[in-house]
Amino acid sequence: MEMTTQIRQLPAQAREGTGRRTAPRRSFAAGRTGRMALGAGTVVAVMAVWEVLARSGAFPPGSIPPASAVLAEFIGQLGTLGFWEALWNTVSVALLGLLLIVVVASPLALLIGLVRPVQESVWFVLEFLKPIPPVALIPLGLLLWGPSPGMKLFLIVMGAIWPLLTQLIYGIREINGVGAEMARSYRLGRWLTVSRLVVPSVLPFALTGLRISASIAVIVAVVTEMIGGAAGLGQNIVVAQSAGALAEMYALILAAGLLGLAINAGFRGLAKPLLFWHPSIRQEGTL
Amino acid sequence: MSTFPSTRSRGGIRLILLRAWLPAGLVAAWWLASASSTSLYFPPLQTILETLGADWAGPSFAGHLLPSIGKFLAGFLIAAVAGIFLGLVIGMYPALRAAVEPIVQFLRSLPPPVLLPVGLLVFGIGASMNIAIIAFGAVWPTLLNTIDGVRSLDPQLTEMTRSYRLTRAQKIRWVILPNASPQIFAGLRTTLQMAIILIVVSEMVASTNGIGYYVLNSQQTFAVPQTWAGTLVLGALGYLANLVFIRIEGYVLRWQAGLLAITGSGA
Amino acid sequence: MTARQWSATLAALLVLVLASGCGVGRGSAVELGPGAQIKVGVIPVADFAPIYIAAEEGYFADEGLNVKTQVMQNAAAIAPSVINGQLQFGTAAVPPFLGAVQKGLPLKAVANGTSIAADPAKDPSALVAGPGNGITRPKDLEGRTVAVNALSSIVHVTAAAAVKADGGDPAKVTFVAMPFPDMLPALARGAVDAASLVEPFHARSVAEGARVIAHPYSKVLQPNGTFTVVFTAQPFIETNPGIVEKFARAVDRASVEAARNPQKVGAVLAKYGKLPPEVFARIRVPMYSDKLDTSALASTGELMRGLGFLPGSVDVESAVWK
Repeated sequence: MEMTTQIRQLPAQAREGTGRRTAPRRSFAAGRTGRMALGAGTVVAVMAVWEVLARSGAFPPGSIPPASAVLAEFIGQLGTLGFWEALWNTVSVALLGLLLIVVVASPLALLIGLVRPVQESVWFVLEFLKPIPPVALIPLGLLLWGPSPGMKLFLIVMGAIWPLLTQLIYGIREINGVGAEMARSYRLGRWLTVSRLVVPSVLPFALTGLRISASIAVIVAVVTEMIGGAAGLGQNIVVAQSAGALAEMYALILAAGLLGLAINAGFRGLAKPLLFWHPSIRQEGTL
Repeated sequence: MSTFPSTRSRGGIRLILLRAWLPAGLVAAWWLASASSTSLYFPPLQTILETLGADWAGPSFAGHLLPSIGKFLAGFLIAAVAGIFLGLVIGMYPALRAAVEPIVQFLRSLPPPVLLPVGLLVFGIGASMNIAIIAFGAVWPTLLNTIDGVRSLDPQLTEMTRSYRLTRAQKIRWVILPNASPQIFAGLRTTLQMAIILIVVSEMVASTNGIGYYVLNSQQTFAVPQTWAGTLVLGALGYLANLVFIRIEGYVLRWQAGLLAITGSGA
Repeated sequence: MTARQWSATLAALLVLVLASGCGVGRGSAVELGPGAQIKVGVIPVADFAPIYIAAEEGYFADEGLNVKTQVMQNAAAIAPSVINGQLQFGTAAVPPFLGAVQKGLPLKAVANGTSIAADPAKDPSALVAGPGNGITRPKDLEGRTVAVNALSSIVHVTAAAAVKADGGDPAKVTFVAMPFPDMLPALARGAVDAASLVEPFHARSVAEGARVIAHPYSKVLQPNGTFTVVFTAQPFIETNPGIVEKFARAVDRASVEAARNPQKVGAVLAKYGKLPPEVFARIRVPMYSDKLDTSALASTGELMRGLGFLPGSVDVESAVWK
């Protein structure tokens, strides 16, 4: 499921968050409407608590505005052109970064997954690069590309490539074993091998990795805009912050969170038609 | 990427060479390419390493590295324990899961720096704020993986626990946790990686020490060799933390596998 | 290809990337043709309103310049982009600018942003003490925690200087960095003992009854001296002297206009800085001036050196254009 990076003992399927339901339950929570109602109820409850806390003065003055003010500002933002421009700047570069990640990660994963010496060779370098935060690379990005989409792309690739890369390597390792032997012994042609063996085995892993990488790409994009000064939601957050426009700042933060949520849901939706045959999709389920 | 093939047949030296040539080659290439560099932002590697030695073997070790390691360990452990515990509870009750899903997905999607004002408000200034930011930002992979691990329990196992009349605690201890552990560890590893990154984010605001503070402060004062040196220390810290984690994971999973074999619940 | 060949290709690629990274840094020397887009990195604070006024009122267009503003957070983010020619001009307060010059970055101030008002009643900065902690003057901050917006920023330098000017030891004060909006809640909560604020947060803190114990800018900086600057990279000046000339002239013109017409400042701050007009009406507007004052740069440099913010002295003359 989420962020699955290490899968050893489980059978060959992407550990997507869509596992089997244990038993058909006739409870309220099992129905689609029921689940949605419960989720919506919690959201309303959290908002209500936030509103009461803010109104009762539990937060120091000028710290966190009430939920209603933030919500009103959020709706107001939806009507402004600047908001949609910023959103587009964030989303377009995040998706472009994702494309670049696919282009970089796929051949790299093939090499690492299929060629043992390559895996051994690059392991140290990759494990060393992984924990370096995109924030620390901002000066380097600024120097090379300035406060531009190019810098954002660089940092997105450096920060968000890891989930897809790791998932792909797992997917490729799986075909490398028994399946490859079988394909060889049945003398399947190249096309048959690819379409019947490679794609079906790798696709679930690829989609999980892609979805996680996408969420991280959006987060890195926003953070880069906040600190590095490229146009987008993050930059609007910083401008609102320096003017002390707190309701607007929290409305934009709300938008950033919802954007991540939407991207996640979008990639989940994408997985469904592509993986209709896969057990994880056939058995309906979400989270 | 961590599961090394055993070194049984080939001999250790060849393997060491195989693993070392690329890092060594990159360092050598960096050294040569930057040796005569006059660019302010790309100082010679020699300068960076000298800074690294002077700062990190000296005052910064106790002044910045140890506090950061402390915050990182505390944040990671809190994230791990909270993630597994909450994941168990949420995974076992579908109604609860449906109720918290939107909130969990939303919080997970927030860029970590926006948590800073709230962290400051609730925890004030000091290590507790940093730890809270690390724990809150890094808990999600463990939480979500645990939920999923619990949820995807084999129906036959659920039937079995019912027929054996296990108590809830026994069920968690002997059935759920062992079966979900590979997924829990997969989540923990991502949590670990995020915790390292979050050290820097958490030290962006209101800190007086730490490796993130060092990197960000040197960045703002145009102390470029220090910025590079700090980044290298972060990479090394992440690498070592991962190495230790893999050892612990291997140990626990082997032990769990043994356990499964004994109780037969893994069948 | 064998595994070995693959690995060799991969390594060659990595080396290539690394080597190309080392070749950057001369981008600002590129000569720009007429009509080429000129990008300015602007920190979203009231001090740089003249840049927006020059854009809005067509002063740049009058000079034949096609200028685009780019909001950036601080000088540390702007400087590398200016050096590499991704931005042609940048904005900064004097301390980070001097810090960059002292470290050897080839930057030159080309125009004045704002200057320091001699009258404390016009000073947009304030050291504000938290409720009920008995702090009445900057010297009392010894042993206490004080919030500043960023370490080594103008706010930090002047707060430390104010403590020193009052007979205290700034080394005994713990300065922590946090964004301005977070300071007032942190004060109210007692997380910090004092905060060094600027507008619009100064006006808000006063409205909420905060105790102002000093106005650091007017207290420690040279009156009527340069406080913020517009800068570019030395190689850019060499290859594009005409553009620098025209740009500086347009900014100077806007600074004079800003000093004469505060309502134009309010208009651009509402449009670009998200500052509501009713808040603008209450704040102290910085002193806009076209006078780039080298002696003030030198005095701020000495102030920073004395407080340990600069490891060495700065050749101020070489850091200013013309």
